[in-house]
Amino acid sequence: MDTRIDVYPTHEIAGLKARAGRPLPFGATLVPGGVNFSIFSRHATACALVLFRKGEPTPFAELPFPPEFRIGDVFCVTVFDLEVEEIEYGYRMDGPFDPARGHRFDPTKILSDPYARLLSGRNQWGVEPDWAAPYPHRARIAFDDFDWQGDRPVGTPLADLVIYELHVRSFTQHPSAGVRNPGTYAGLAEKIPYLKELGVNCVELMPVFEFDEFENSRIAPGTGERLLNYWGYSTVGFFAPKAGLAATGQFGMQMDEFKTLVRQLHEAGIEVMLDVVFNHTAEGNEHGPYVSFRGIDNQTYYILTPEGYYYNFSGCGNTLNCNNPVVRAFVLDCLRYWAAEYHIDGFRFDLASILGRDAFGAPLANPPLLESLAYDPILSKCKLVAEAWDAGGLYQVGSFPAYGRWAEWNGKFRDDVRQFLKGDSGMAGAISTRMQGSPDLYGWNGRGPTASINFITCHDGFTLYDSFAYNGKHNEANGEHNNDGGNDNHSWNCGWEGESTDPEVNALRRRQIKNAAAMLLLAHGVPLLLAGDELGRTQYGNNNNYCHDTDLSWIDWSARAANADLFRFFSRMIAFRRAHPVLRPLHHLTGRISPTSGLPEISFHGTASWYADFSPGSRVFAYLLDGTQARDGQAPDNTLYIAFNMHWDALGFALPAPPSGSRWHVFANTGATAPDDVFDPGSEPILSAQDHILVGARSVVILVAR
Amino acid sequence: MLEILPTPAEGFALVTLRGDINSASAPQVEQAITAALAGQNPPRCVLDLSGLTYTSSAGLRVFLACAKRIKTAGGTFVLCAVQPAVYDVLDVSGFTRILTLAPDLAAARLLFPS
Repeated sequence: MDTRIDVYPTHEIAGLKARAGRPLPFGATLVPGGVNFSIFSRHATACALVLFRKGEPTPFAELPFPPEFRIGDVFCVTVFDLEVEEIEYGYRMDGPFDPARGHRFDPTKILSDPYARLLSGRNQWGVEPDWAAPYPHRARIAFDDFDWQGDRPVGTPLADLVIYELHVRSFTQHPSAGVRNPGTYAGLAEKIPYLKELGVNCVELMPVFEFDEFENSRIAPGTGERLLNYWGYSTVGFFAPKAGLAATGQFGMQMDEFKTLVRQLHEAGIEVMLDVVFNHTAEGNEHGPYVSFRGIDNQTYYILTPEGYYYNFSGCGNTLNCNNPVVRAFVLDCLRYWAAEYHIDGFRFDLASILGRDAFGAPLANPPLLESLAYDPILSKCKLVAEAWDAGGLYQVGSFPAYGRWAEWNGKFRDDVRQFLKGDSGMAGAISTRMQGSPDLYGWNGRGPTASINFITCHDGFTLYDSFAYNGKHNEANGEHNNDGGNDNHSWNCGWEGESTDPEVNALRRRQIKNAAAMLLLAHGVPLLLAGDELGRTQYGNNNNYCHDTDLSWIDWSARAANADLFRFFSRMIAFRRAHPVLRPLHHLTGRISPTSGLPEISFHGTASWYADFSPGSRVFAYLLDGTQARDGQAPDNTLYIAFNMHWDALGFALPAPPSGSRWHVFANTGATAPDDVFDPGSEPILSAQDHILVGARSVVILVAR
Repeated sequence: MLEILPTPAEGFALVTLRGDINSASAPQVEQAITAALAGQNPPRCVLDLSGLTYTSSAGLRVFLACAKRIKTAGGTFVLCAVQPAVYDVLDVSGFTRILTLAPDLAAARLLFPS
């Protein structure tokens, strides 16, 4: 068969043997005898492939594309006899520099391939680069020889997912992590037993696409240390895993290391979701660097004002022109690649509302990109989760174009639950809705509770502990005079701002953390936890921790002993959720009464049974879930009674009668001190008085009928 | 510097590598393995890495390619006496799960009962 495919060179260019290439796939692809290079540019007048030996500042060859190597808007060439492992490549594009028309070609720049699957230049985390380097983010040619050993995506239904958001470096960089490869994919793999013990079944990784941690010019006040773009919400290479997060990045083995991590997580039954940032790139605004898009086809890739400036719907200087058909295909190619080549189980889209804007920035009613992703045959089993807002004022929680596929980070869940927890009055009605999977947002449109990714904390904002230790943000260390970061934290310091030696303050904070964990893991929908909250992690009031590569960001594993009761509470709440399908409905509940139990699917209560107080002064909410109707009666379960008292006084709650033949047992009572605050699912102690319970001040009680 | 020493052995091909593998020398390793396997069916090969101090990704890819080729032909490919620095890279990149490792040559021999 090989003889039927032409693999012989037809040209010699710059001393290298070449022939006209194939336009697809884009990027650098190994073909018999050589490498096929293909890149799009609509407005370039000329293009050259620039080849470097690994790490060298000046190229050893530059191949201008002859006209016959250009098909449509694609430059493509097959180059023969290359030492594939020894080469880095880039492109030089010529064309108009006419910003008013959107063009910013600069033939003095060497541009990275947007499809590069392997990038060097930032191979080891935190090693300061040579700022004068003419080509900093250097594309390399990747191999496809990983042995997956039969691995496949886990396929956990969305309704059963417990998502755990983490930053790869923060998770194991602290010396107390005790791993062989701190701060890396391999280090995270070493912590899989911990994830299993906690019980989460999905990790959501903060950005792992290649980024430049040095993309930050601010200095930390006081220490004078350089601040970083530590989180990495600023992509340099969309197809390349970040080398600096790999122990083997210095060997260029980050692809293998990352795939090994995914395979090991899958073996443990844990899915991998990636936080992907398609709303903007690392090129910033008109003062930013040339990495690739700006010099390849600025007018295609970015949303520009009529004068040719960059729209800034991302808050990061530029906005990717996601609904241009070329860019749309790029995004789709990228996600397909991660799903197919890295076995990724799902994606969370940062500032996803930008993906629904048109080339002029206006929101589209039927955004082609979002529709394509929803119906894509390769992504069909991947979870798609939108951060359903952007920095340009578009807020689509509950109205993100979903096509029956998209789930959303439910910002309203976070805001309402935080207000309720801190004791704001008048929240009982909202809490009833939030605990039911937000039917106000996802009921009318038929999307169901699993469209709601419920969270109370995430990387943005306070940690859970800090939500109960700080009234206001304390971001001085970020070097912007505390002007960065959100102000709508809905936090309460429990009586003292910051670290306290008052045992009452500290006891209340721990109780509040448990209350929050209980609400999150009881709520219908899909819970998302922030890594470290189960260990009482603090950022000392910093609510915008994007720039700190210090123990302000790193998880301190030595805190586990002192916070054993928090870990225990979280892990048992997760186990309880897993044990009770009545907490994981596939549809919003209706209040339908079961002929067998005589109970409604869900009923609402307060200090009086069968009477919920939704008045403006109420800080109380209780509800009963009929186990016989769990999952439409398909997964019979225990009946549960759940009471929240966010009043500052203990209150007596009259209990609805448990189903006949059963009695109330106490699974959790955050008003009690450990070990009586939570029990193993299935071995809960019986409640002494069956018709009432005293629920402590700012406490949660969970009862199981059996 | 890399030294490649085809070594006589009973019942399998033995190749001893000393020094370090870089992308220039990696193809020589592949050629040496191919030459040592000539005439063997099924192919059986042991790489003695007790003297290998470093390998670039090119060397790792050669190990992987040989392992797959030999496995496909129904044979056995063993790396023995892998030194810690090389082992760490193999382990983190997932290769220890794909390649057969033996602590030393004596242990590798046991994989080929005569």
